[in-house]
Amino acid sequence: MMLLLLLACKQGAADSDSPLVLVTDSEPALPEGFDEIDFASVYTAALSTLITADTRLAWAGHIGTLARAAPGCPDWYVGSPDPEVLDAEGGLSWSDTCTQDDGTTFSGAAWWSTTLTVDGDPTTAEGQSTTGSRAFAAAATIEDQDGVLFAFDGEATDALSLTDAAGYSAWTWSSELLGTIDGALAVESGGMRVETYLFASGGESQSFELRGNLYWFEDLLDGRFDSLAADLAFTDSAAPDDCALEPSGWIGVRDPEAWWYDVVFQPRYTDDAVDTGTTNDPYSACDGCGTLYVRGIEQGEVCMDFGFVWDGLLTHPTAEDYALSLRDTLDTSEGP
Amino acid sequence: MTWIPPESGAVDNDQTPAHLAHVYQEGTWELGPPAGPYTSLSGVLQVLEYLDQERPTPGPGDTAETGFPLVDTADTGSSDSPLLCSVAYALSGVAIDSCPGCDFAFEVTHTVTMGNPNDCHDPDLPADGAILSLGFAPDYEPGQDWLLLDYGDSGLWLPWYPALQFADNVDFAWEATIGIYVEEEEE
Repeated sequence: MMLLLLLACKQGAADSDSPLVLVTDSEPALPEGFDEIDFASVYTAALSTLITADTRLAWAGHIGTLARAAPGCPDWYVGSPDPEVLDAEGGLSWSDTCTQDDGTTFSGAAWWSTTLTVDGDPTTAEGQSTTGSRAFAAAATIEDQDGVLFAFDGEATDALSLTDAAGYSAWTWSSELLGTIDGALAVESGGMRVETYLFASGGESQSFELRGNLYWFEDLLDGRFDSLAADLAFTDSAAPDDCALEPSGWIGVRDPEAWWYDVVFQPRYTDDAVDTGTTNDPYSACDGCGTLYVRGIEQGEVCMDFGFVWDGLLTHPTAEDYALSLRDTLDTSEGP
Repeated sequence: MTWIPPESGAVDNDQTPAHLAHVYQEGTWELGPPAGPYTSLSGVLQVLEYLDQERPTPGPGDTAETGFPLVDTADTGSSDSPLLCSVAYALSGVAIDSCPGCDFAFEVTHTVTMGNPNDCHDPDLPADGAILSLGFAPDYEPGQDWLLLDYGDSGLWLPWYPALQFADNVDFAWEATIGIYVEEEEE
């Protein structure tokens, strides 16, 4: 479209003998330092970040917050503290604006709910089934003299299913995280706005899907990129129709000047296969390589070794992570 | 679940719950056979929850029949009663050996003999007929014995009730105070 407009401008100028002469480069300029970017390294770091940007971040901040609670700060509730603030069935919550003697401050409200059920015997053919779920919603900030311990405004949920039987095991785990998150109890780096969905499964083979995006408020990936986005599906299956060398879908990084750098791998969805805008030979090959696009213009290949995904990066919570009772929350026990 | 973040400045400093539930759970195991090794138990679990007040101190003439420690459920739910719930369970158990660090453990069947657990606010209160795995762990904390619960039958044994053993009996009790939302009646 841009080329047609340029041609039209040039043609019009010649016909009217206008002194206006439009001179353009045929190749659009690339951002400064483009040639110095190690894209394989950047996308490896981006993928590692997105895979771990799941409900566990918010939950870790929440558990850390509970450990910093003191009697009366914050105040605990069964269920919602106020249905006008939070419309939720069951669960537990805190709501307060208070400062402890040591200066730790709780401000806002948080609600959470967990389930954990284990049935069966893992030594039998039918096996043992473990299911757990967590939900956490908050608009809260916890601080001390050193700064923000945990700040979260959003929702986080996940669900785990484990099956253990004689000679067989399998698991699935899904996570949705939507909100802004900050504080040393949750994230190692600075705060971020994140929206991710993950579904992972394991057993004889592993697979996972990842959709979402992440934006750092202050930090930069590789000193250059402030945003990540992806829609990817992975498998380590060696089945004939599967590709274990690369995912399907795409992953992108963005710099603060709003340049998006997207690498496109195998088609993620059926419609992708007929998307002429991104179809090319390397696109459809199972070779660990994707096609790099900068603002939609193809810039060659990026080849990566995705072995790191299966080498301990993809994990799921344990059953213990879903055990959080009222008694764990309160510290008001008195013996007989 | 619908989350509506409060508007900035909409919360008061050091706000306190408008209403509190004072939760009391206490019970007894009678172990058998006498002097052990124990293979079974029978017992009771009593649950009381009061709205905005602690459990009244029994008067000189008060007994179980007059309302202490149990209060008949006919008194719960009325607008002028501070009693949120009053539930009694009959307990029966058979020994198991899966509790690490426990002297003895049981699969305990909880049968409601009075009241409705749904009226109570402890989300972990057993339903009628629920079977929980509980074990007695002496000195789980220094100087304090505990009953441990196999949470969700997950194999994760969590401290559940502070407890004390006297010969073939175990007494246990737990108290908590927690905020609750109570819909205000329109005038």
